[in-house]
Amino acid sequence: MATDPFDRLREPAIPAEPRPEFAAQLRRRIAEALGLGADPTGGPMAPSHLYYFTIPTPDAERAAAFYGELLGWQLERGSAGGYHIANITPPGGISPSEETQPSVWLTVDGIDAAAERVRAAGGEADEPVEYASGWAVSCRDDQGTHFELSVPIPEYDTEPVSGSRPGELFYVSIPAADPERGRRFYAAVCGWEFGEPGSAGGMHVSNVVPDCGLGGGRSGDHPELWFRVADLDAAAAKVVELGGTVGDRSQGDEGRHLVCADDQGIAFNLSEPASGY
Amino acid sequence: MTSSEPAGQDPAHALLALYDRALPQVYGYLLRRCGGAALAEDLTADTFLAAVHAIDRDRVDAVSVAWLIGIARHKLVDHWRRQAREERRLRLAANEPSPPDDPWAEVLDRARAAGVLAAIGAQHRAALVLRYVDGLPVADVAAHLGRTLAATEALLTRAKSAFRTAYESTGRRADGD
Repeated sequence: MATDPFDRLREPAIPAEPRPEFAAQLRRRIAEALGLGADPTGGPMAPSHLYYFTIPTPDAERAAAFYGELLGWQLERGSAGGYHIANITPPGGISPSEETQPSVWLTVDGIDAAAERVRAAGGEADEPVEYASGWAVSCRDDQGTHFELSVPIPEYDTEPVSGSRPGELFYVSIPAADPERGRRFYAAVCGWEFGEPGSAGGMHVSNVVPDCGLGGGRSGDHPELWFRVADLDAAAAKVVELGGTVGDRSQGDEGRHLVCADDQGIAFNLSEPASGY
Repeated sequence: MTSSEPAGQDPAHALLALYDRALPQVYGYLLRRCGGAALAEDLTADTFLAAVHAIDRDRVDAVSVAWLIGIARHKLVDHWRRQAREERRLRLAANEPSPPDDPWAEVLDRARAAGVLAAIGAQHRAALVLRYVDGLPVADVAAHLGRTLAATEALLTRAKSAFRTAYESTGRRADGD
């Protein structure tokens, strides 16, 4: 019997990636329909914003002296030997820890549903913990970068504001060796939307403040924090005077930048924003 | 669905856990068969929400990609059924040629065939995709289309004839030599 020419049409299901925005939106619809992470208002998930950052350090008192002098931070002594930075927006903290990499704290509507989204998107989420500032869950994205998701207490759950004064955050860069994968992950977990890919495939998050982006092709497992200074050269001299070290400089339309380490060897970054940034 | 079940056993959690792996499979299956990204997105959403509905009614033992593809196939057939109804309304008279008797020995060009499949009537497309692209037995095609075996065989014959006519006409335009 002759073979049927129509047998040539046979085709297994070939996987195809839908738009990340569609994938994230459908995930939310499914979670809501399943009764997991349902938004009480019934509306779409509010995008996460960065409401706090922490600089962990072995010697919090020494770090407080260093950053207070360099960036003009007013530091209030908090619980367990840490410091709260009271005079910047969004606020941050210095916490005593053997860990020496910064953390960003991102808001979510429901802690359990958020942890579930992280796991479903291929990341890791610990058990949620209740702090004085609210519920939080320590997470890693699907490329290993650490971040915290949190439902802050009302006192901290303020309208997101972008920093504008010296000492405040200029930019947060989340390393993403594979930016497209990072985009999918944070769209699904945080409801973030992204601009067009820039250098090395990095992408700016278009619906979060303070300004934040995925650092394309950059490895690392913690976000990088960039703080505003009025004069980069003066700040660089101050870093050295205080016992820190300065590294690479870079420049873009948005300003001039400097990679630094504090007097305990912990990396941080400074930016002198260009006019209008 | 009860919340006392451990997360690993609960189909609701299993569906979300499977989502990232299943989504490209389901979307890819639909995209290649329905021929448009916007429509593929709609049908993908319908598929997953139908899966949620099935889980809610405790009709699911284990969620899997194969199970989701099965739901996607139903959604695709539903879509074609709606489309065929629409085509019937638009068409004044269905005047389909009777099938030729001579066996067809052409070796089908896949890209050209995909274009032809997208261009023929929805009812014919449904029959051919289920039978040949998905490789289902005629009885399964009949079940999906809600027709008898004999009616499905007749539909397949007409569909193949319509396909062949369209395929040969695109060939005359496309082949320069």
